[in-house]
Amino acid sequence: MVRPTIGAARGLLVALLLAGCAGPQELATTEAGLRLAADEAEARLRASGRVVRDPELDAYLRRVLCRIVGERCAEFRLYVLDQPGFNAAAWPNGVIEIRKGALLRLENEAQLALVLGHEAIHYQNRHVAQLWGRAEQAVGVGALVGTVLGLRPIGEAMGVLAALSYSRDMEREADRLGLERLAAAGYDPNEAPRLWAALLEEKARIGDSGQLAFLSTHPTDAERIAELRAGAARLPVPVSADPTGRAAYRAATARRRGAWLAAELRARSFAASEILLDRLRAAEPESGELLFFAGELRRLRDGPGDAEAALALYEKARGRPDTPVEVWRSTGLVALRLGRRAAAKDALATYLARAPTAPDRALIEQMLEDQDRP
Amino acid sequence: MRKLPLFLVLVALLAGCELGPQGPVLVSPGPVAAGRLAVQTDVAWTQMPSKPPRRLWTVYGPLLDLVVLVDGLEEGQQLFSSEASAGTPVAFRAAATGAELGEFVLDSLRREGASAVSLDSLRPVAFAGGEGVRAEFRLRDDRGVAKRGFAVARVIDGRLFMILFVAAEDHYFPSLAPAVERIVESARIV
Repeated sequence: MVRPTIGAARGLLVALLLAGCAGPQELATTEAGLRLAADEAEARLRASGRVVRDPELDAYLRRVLCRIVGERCAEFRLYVLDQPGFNAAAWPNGVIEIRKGALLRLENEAQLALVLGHEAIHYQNRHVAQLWGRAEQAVGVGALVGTVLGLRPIGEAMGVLAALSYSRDMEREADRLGLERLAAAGYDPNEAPRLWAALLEEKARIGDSGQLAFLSTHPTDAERIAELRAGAARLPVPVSADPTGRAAYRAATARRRGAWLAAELRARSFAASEILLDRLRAAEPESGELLFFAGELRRLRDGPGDAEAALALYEKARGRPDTPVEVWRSTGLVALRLGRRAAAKDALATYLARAPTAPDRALIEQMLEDQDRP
Repeated sequence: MRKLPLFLVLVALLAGCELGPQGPVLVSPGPVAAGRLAVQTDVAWTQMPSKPPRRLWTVYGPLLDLVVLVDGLEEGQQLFSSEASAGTPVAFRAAATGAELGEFVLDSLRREGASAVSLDSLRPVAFAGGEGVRAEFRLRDDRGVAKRGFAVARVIDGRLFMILFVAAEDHYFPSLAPAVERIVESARIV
């Protein structure tokens, strides 16, 4: 089948606008044009390297989505994007995207269900179509699709995201229905105000940035959180051993968390990563993996006092069962930075002993030989 | 007018390229002085407009193959000059170890939108008359095209000299890698 291009869809929209005020039929045609633009964007997204290919994770997310939206689940296609930071969004053609960075920040299955359910409501109640229609008039389909695909420079994209912001009434409607669906699906509705409050707190600490694109499109303030708290209080908390689904969420994501954290740090939004790691470590203070990544944050940031702090964190991490073997490599690199040659040599030798097939083996061996030179 | 494919723009930015009025120029086979980095090439390249200390060469177009010659990047400078990402820039540290240079190259590529970036090997090599480091890697560009590449680098007097090659894994990498290897072998600092 030959699909009209984005340009054709845009041309259709422009023609509609030039034709005068849109009546109901024209509005429906506009939505059809947007759906085509979204289909085009989806095809590009699927072909890109930005979608995480993980059938096991996809199946888990789909189960949660279907639990929260019920029999209309088949209307949606879900994509996990290989991007840091918190964002999730619905498109006018039934796509729901969620970033790896959001999965890293969610604490339990109830929060995941909340986010997916919230986006599904925006789609089902035609908020998305209204929003994209408005944004298309403001910025054009090209800018819209570029932003949706995460391909625009961040400053430019923030402007487009502002045009893609849901109204307070849309959010209120999605919140009310979202709470009801959360409770009906057997999740604790109190996780809704908890999640939004945590995002708002993170924004207060780091300000507007691509790390919290979700809040650019979903305006949130203290009043909204108060309304969510009041709404949740009117609903029953399910009677179960784990009404938030924390254990299930951890089981589905634990194996992937290290790679997600590594990617998050590589984005070098250190303030946001520090808040994230502090929160995760508060819940799991004994985790060697989290201690290691807290050290990595300081090694990569390399600010005043960071090298010493990184070494202290690596030392705490070593010997714990879930600590990555790279802790020895990082210990060696930071010790070298501080001029502690003996400690560096011990750590790098341990790294090679424990990771005999490491891709940087030859270079580390060379570094060890260099330490023996006078 | 149809916009330039995004990755083309990205690649141009990636090499610090200024899309100004000057067009591409032919680099003929023979000796070439890229600033202090002198090399010998036995194939012809197209040099795209570029901003020192970076030079950008391609045979089939930057969507398919790309060589970046870096002639003395200074402390605190970025390898590529795009501002496409939020967060702290990936800056060159003159005191970086070879292992950290490898991280610098890969993080710079990630920051420009490459995904699934993985390190195949990182090892010491002779480069431009001294001890350098070589990183071999794989990635996917933003159109999902699988690519392979390598970077050979050396720090001299606090400045980074480097030759980076990245090309589509199918056909273009194996086709051009031998020519780039010969450029790397010929490199010297003048």
